[in-house]
Amino acid sequence: MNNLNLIIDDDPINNTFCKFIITKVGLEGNFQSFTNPEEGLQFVTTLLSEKSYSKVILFLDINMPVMNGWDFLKELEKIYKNDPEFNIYILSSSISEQDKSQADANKLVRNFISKPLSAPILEKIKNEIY
Amino acid sequence: MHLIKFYLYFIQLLFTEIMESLKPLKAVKQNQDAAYLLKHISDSSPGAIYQFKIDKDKNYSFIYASAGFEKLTGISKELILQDYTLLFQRFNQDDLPGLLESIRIVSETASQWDYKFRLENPDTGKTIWIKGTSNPELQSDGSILWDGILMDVSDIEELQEKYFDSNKRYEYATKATNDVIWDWDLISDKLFWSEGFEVVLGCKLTEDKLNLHFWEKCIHPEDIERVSESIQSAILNDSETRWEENYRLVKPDGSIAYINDRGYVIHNKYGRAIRMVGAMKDITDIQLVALERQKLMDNLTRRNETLEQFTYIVSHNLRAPVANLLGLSEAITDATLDTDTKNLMTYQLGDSATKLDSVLKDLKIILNTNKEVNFKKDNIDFQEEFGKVYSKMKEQIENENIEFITDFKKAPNIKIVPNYLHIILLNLISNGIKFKRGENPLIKLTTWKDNKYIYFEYKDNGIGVDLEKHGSKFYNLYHTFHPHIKGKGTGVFLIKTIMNNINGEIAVSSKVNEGTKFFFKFNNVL
Repeated sequence: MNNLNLIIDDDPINNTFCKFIITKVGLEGNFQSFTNPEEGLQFVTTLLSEKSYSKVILFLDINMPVMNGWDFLKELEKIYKNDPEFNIYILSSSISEQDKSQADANKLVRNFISKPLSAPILEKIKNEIY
Repeated sequence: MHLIKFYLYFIQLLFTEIMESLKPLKAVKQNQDAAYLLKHISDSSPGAIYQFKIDKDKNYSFIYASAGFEKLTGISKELILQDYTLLFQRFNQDDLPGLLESIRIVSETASQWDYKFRLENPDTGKTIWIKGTSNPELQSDGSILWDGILMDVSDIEELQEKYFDSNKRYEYATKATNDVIWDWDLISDKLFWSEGFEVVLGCKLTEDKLNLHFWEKCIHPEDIERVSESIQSAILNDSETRWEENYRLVKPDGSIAYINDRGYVIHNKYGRAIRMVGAMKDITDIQLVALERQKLMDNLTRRNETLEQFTYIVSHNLRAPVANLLGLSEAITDATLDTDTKNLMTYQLGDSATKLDSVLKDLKIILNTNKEVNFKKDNIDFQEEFGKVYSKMKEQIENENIEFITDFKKAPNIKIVPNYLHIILLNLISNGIKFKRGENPLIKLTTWKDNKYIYFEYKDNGIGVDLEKHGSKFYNLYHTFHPHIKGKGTGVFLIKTIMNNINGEIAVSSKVNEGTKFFFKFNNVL
């Protein structure tokens, strides 16, 4: 089974950039991105029920139309059992303190990352997880 | 026969003789009866009857005192006849100079004497009020004989003093508080106003104004119904005694006084209200300060909201393209990049810069919209403004084949910052076009009004919004509802901002695949 690096963000530019930096740092596993969070949720639900992965890192945006990051987490909470192999990071362009503390308070979220995603941050994540 | 005649004569003589001799006897009896009667009346009458004498050398003495004299003054009749000063010693010290002066005047002019003074009884420690009345007469020997009555008037005096005190207290209190006291006789519809009402109204109160009708006529048209109803219910409800209202009075010069009015309803024994007494307070100064404070608070709250919006936009919407620019500008320098990725990133750099520019422009519109709240309001014609928006969007409207039904007859005008109505109509119609559904897209615009508000309704038969899902974020900036149709997410945000700014109300109802309805409530400013 493979590791998986997953991005859910409505901004395609961000997703292109994330793919680039993840590849560059050499984070193990496949890369998949969703600009529609509802489709992303569908995918994650299947993933969790089939357990068809070894390690997952999910980078989740907050400000998205239709369903924002917090709504996504609320939905996910219904099916998500605490799984050390499934790691969620908030990746947001927001620099608001309120967003950061809300992320810290959410037990599903490992950490809050302010965009842009960078090599040093990814190295840190790599060390945390592998 | 002669003997009999003589006998009869003798008897007659005797009888006459006896009758004659009896005459003085009868007069004495009559005199004695009259004196007794007089004494009886004098002794049993309330108060004291006396006779006082001032001889030609101005020596004073009491000649007569009734039984009541002792009861009133505490000095026995016998003693006072010997020494008049016994009474004078008991005069209240404060009253003494005036009293002696009044007696002196009588001694010289023999004029009518009426005097009220206090008498102190050292035996009982009591002070009583005495009213003295008399009609002195100058005698042939140059003396003055003074028949008079002294009455205990303490009760009346005390009552008067109390009445005077409370009346004075009331008068001063009214002056101090600027309260207007009123008294309404429901039976005659006479309304008494204390002088303060003229001050409040700034006009003279003539006889024709002393009724409820005049007062009602002065009340502000927006308040009259409420005040009238509450006073009616206070009168009709027999268990209700207290009434209070705040309202505005329109003075004859057209200016407005803010009034706090409280009343007390008096009922007769059948429970029917017969009279109402109350106090009215001019609270214009307080009210104007409160209004000014409220205005400042509203302004501050709005400014704070604007700042919060600004912070939000900066930390989210402005930051997003900046983050992209930061990431991409670094990534593009990477030597290992293949040409396709490099080209894509170059394009995305430009795209991010454009997005940054567009957010800045939106920010400017939002800040301008907030600023315009202090702009001059104009009387705007709905039909005319709709025409302007229509011609601006004519091409899109005709391309999408949108049909409009407008009815502005019931409320053709509104007083508003001109650009506000324009932004509202423009964004509503722009959304209506963007989110149309089916072959016969229809937008209906209707206005109506009442005394206080102007209402405006927008209704379309478009694709609608799932409000259960989006309700809480419906008006949020850059929140869009339809993943397949590109909305900017500024339209309803701007509309909501405007409605907040002008203290209006907005409500939305919508059903997916049926349509959307916006309801607006504007204050009907004169």
